[in-house]
Amino acid sequence: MTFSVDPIALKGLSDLLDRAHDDADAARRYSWDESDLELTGEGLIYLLTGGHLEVRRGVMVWLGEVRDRAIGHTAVAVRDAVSHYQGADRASAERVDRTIPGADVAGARDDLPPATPVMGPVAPSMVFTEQVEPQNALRELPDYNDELPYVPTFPDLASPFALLRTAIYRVTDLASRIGIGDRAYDIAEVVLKPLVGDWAGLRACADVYRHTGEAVEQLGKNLLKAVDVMSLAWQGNAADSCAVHLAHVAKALLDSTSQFNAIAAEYEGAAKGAHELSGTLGNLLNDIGDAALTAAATGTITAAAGSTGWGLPVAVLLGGVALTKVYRVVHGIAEILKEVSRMQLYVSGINATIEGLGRVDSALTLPTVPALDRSTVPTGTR
Amino acid sequence: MMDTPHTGSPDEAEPSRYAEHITRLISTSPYASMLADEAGMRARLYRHLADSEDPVTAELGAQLRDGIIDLAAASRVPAYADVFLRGMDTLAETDFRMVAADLDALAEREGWGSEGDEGFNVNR
Repeated sequence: MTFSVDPIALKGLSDLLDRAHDDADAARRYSWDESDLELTGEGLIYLLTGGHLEVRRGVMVWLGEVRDRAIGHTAVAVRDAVSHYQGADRASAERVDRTIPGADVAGARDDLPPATPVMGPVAPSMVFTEQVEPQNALRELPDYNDELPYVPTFPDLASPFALLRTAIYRVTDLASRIGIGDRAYDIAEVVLKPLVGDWAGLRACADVYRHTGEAVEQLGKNLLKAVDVMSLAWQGNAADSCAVHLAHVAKALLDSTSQFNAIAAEYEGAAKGAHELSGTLGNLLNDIGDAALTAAATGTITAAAGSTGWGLPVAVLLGGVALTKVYRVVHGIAEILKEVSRMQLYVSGINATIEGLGRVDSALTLPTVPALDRSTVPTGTR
Repeated sequence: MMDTPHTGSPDEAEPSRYAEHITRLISTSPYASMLADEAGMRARLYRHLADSEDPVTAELGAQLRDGIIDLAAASRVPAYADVFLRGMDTLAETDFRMVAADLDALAEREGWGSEGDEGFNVNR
């Protein structure tokens, strides 16, 4: 194995790794700070508390490992190697390099994207440069509050004294007394409670994890480029060991993109589900409200003279119109409860999925990031 | 059909039976098709409200009849709230057992209803 080293160029690698360390740290802080949600209350969003916490912690721990174990320690080791080479003559440096076992760089980057072609002679200080700037991916988040307000807007339920609310309450109370409903319902509670919560923040979390995944992917590309230009600055067993380690780290980072996208998709799905549920409940609410008010209007007519004046006996009016509308309200409430229950199952499923995706020690989750074997890099004291 | 009253007094019957009985009876009545015409029924309802002797009820009915507002919009007008609330009071006070019995009597008088259907012949 040929040994060669250009300490000035190699210092560029330790500098690049320092910047990669900062990128990983920025991604870690971004994913943690921007995913801080208040998932409390009685709404369906509360069901995501466990999974969300697991994802946040998992991503934070994983990015901490990327930052420290995979990159930070390597930056220190490369800096030590630069000091070693600066203080040693070529013969002794080569002798030390021969004591280090060889490593298969080609094998390590086998299933990674093709090498970046190096065009023409490169100045030593320019060997190790980034292909992309990962922190640019950590973008500001859109505000989803218009689409997903903390408290959904159903105008007719805005006030506790809203007539529609009273009408539905009294119609369901009547329904329970005549045995076709189970109890009186405050419709505001039925339709609002499940939907109250920071669904906008949850939707933004999808962006947080997608952006974090992009930054991590770009970090991986930068490390892979460093692997591909390594031989311009450093050759030998130590160089190969470092290149193999960085290729493994790059692979873990590139592989993690699909996991970040999967996490993002779950968050997006939950927010979309809440948005759709809000629309569905709004439609059902209109339907129920209309039925309750029609029943009330029918009551107004029957309160008048015995004859209805439009060809229907009072009993037919009460039985055929008012009672039909009472049934409609009862069925509408049942439909709402069914939709909420369906969403509850869906959200619970998402919670279980993100709980799994967030775990760093599972085969299905974020790839394990390797630590550098410190004995494969020469130090100033060797 | 009314020859065989149901076993036990109406007071002992499950409340939901009144509702079910009413629904079944209405569905076999000559009024069924008229009631099934939702738009027609609604138009009649609004016309009737518009003909009310109570000026506010009449105003509400006219607004609804002429399509100026719908029921949801009407429910947001404080002046109309009383009309709806009065209607709800009437409904709340309605004895559907009596409605069932009235329909039984009507069916017998007008000769409709399903054969073998048990009635609620309440002694009024």
